[in-house]
Amino acid sequence: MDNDESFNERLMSRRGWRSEFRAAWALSIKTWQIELSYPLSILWFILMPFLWLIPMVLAGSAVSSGANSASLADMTGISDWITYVAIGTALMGLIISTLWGTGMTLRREQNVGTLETLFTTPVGRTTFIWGNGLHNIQHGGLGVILQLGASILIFGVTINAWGIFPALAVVALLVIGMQGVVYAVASIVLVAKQGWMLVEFLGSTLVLLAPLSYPLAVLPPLLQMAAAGSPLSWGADAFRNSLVFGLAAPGLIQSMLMMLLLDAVYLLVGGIVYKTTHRWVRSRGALAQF
Amino acid sequence: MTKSAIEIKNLTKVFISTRRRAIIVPVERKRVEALKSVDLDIPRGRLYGLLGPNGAGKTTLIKILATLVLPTSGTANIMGYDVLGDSSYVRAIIGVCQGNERSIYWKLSARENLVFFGRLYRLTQSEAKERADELLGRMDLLEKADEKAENLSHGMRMKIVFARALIHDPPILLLDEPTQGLDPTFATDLRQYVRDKLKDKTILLTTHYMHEADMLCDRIALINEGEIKSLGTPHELKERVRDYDSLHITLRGAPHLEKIRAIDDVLAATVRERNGVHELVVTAHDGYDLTRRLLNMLHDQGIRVEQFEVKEPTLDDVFLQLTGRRIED
Amino acid sequence: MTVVETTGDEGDLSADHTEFKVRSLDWSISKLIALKNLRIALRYPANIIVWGIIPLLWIAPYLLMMTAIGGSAGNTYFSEISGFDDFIRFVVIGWFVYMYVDNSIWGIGNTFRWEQFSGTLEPLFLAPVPRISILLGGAFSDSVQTTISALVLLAFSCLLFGVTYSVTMILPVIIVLLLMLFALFGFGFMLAGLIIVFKDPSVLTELVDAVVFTVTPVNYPIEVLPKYAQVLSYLMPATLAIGIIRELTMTASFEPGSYLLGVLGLLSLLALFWAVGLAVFRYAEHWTKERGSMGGF
Ligand SMILES: Nc1ncnc2c1ncn2[C@@H]1O[C@H](COP(=O)(O)OP(=O)(O)OP(=O)(O)O)[C@@H](O)[C@H]1O
Ligand SMILES: [Mg+2]
Repeated sequence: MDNDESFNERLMSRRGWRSEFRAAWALSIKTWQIELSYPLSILWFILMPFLWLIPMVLAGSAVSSGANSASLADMTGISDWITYVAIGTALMGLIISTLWGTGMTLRREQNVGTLETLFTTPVGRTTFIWGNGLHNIQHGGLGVILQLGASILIFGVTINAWGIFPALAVVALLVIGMQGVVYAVASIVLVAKQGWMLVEFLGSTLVLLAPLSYPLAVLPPLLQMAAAGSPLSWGADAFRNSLVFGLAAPGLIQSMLMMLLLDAVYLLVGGIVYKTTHRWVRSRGALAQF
Repeated sequence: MTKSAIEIKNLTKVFISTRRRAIIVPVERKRVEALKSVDLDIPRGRLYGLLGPNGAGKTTLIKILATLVLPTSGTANIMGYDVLGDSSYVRAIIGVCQGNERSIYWKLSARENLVFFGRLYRLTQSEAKERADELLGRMDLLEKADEKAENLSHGMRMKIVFARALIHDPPILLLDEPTQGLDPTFATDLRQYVRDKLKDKTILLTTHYMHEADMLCDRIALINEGEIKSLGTPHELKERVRDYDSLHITLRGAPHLEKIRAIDDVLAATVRERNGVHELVVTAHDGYDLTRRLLNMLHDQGIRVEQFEVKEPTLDDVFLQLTGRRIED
Repeated sequence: MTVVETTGDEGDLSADHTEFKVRSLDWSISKLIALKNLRIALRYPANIIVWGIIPLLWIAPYLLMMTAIGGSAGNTYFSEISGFDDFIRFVVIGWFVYMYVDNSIWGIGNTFRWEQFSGTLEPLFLAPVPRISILLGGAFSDSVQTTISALVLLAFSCLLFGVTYSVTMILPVIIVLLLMLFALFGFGFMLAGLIIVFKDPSVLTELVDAVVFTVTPVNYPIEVLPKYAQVLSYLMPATLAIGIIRELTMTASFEPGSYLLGVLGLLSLLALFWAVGLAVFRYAEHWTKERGSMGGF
């Protein structure tokens, strides 16, 4: 320990987005380590994607005698309703896991008692959130692949391979927009003890307003208008259309532009809310309380 | 660069807490002045202690320095970095240990914990591993390094907590009751470690164990109700209130208390009998001067003196004198 | 699906009730805990209401999807396979009953999750009262709250989706609900045992809830399930209960024969779940004591 100062000083000089990314990566690995330390979580991880889809498929099969639905084809141009629902719920899995997984990050740290310690490290305040977002993208992304793969094998869902590229771009845009929501969620749970209720509301509303398992056309007109303000609404259609129709998916460019615009708004608002909340919590000295 | 490692000026913290019953109705607002205009300079390489009773504001001060809590007014600098403006630099040079075994992940092993936190302090993966092993070795934990923290004993977890604070080799350490709830041997080990191995670090330590402060600290700040009442070396502090001495004398046979009280300069005298042994406590402004006269008198009374001691005041006496309150109630 | 943070203040029991004799079941303890929980719950009446509203956001996607897929022909096909004419009415009453199932699963899971965070599981279990009674007490108070929430849900659903039900058969409905509720308690014991062993309340409750939800005919008639899943489904007390209650409230017909048969079925499930539940829980307790890992969540 003779070169004490220099080791710390060397670390001090490592700044910038690359060091933030490394910290974020460490956070995502840490969450994997913790998740995998629970014996059942691997089972859950494999089963989860199907546990969303199967009740949906069962419910659909109660109102449709075959694989094709004339009314769905009228509204969306896709007549194979299982494909429609399977792709939609795969995306929903990713969104829900991001919203709950990432949004509740700080609350979980608070619960296990590590939040204050984390906040004494030089990692950027927003990195804690998107670092865990990184984990949830890995986690949720694997889930999407798993579910789509199984849907193809079990339900005979077909996917246009070229569509994977625009679909990935859509997911990227979607995840960025969701970060805005996640910042807001993180702020809520940091402040309010009953925050999960609001989160449940927010999450369920986002899902309700998005064409994940049904086209927006079946929503009441007022809700249809509200849906236009959610990146998830644009993203869900664009994602599915890409995977079904490939590069020639209708309205792809328009959806992506809309998402870009909405992402900017969501990120800005979410970021400001988070920063403000963080300040407030620090002035209250309430980081460790819940 | 300034000479002080930690500079605190006029630091004030007022907590305002509202208690809510339901989501809507706030019930009461409470104002707590946790710190009142605190000034403190800690030169580099020194170990300062904050000693005070529960609720004195020790943790609040540590948390403000650790950038966890925002001050209401005043400033604090660490190595020239402002805790408000340059908080990310401050965090990089401080190691914080909150003496809470929950501040590490119980689901991760000792090594995984250290590597993870190392990564957050921008160590590379290999640096972090190396450093983790080095610290685990120093803490005598190498054998248990891959055991999940939840399967370790309380003391071992505390070692990890402590090692975690050292992972980036910070020049500044903020230790909030690091030995709280530890068994005496381990607490002693830890104190020894702090005293011997962390000599070149600037350390601010809070405690309400007087002997800990006495043993470790270069300087002690006595803090009560958010105010620093006195600052000095342990010896200085005791000298400052040394307006009397107490003589503790163990006797065979009962002394004549009235005669002792009648001696000039004696402020008070009490005697307590235990198993046929009488313990006489006499306080006086100048104990050494009194000693000869007192011993002569006892001799004249035909009482055998078994033990004789002039006791210095303890830090607790100092605290009592300053605040009318004891540290350990 | 849902994440709840319950206030786990059962921990204070140990102080007050040391004079009780340790029996395997102690109803007075259950009552005590239930009353205490209710008193706390009534301080936050908003929660109970909100729990009646949030499930609307879960029902709606199913109804919307079924509307989208079924179109105008959907109802015809639906009544062909289910025997009921309107899938919206069918689904809403299904959710009403399922609220109890959801609650029995999550109530237990969250109790343990809270203990996990606050580390009070061991003190709680050290209290000299039968553990089953502690769980049962919690289950009682939860059931009262769930009843309010479920009624709120039903009322809002009726308003929002424009459906109505017959209330002439209210008494037989209540009997069936009560039987199901008691059978679910047994199910809860089983779950509690599993949680103690696996120490993973979050995942376990999610998993169990998802499986139970899938095999229970809430959104769809049991006929759409594969055969083996139908067998599993009939093992769930809610399946029988939902079936009977649908008959009673949707067709307003009371057939004593089939009703009695249903009640008998529920009674045997009740006995089965209590027997299995208690056995699993006892075994789990024993298992953890042997390994000394009760507190090590
Ligand atoms: N977040 C907060 N909100 C409101 N009041 C607070 C908060 N944190 C601390 N306080 C109050 O500030 C005062 C100082 O608390 P602090 O935790 O700093 O004391 P301490 O000296 O660390 O005590 P202890 O020896 O018990 O750890 C106390 O009166 C406490 O109640
Ligand atoms: Mg303190």
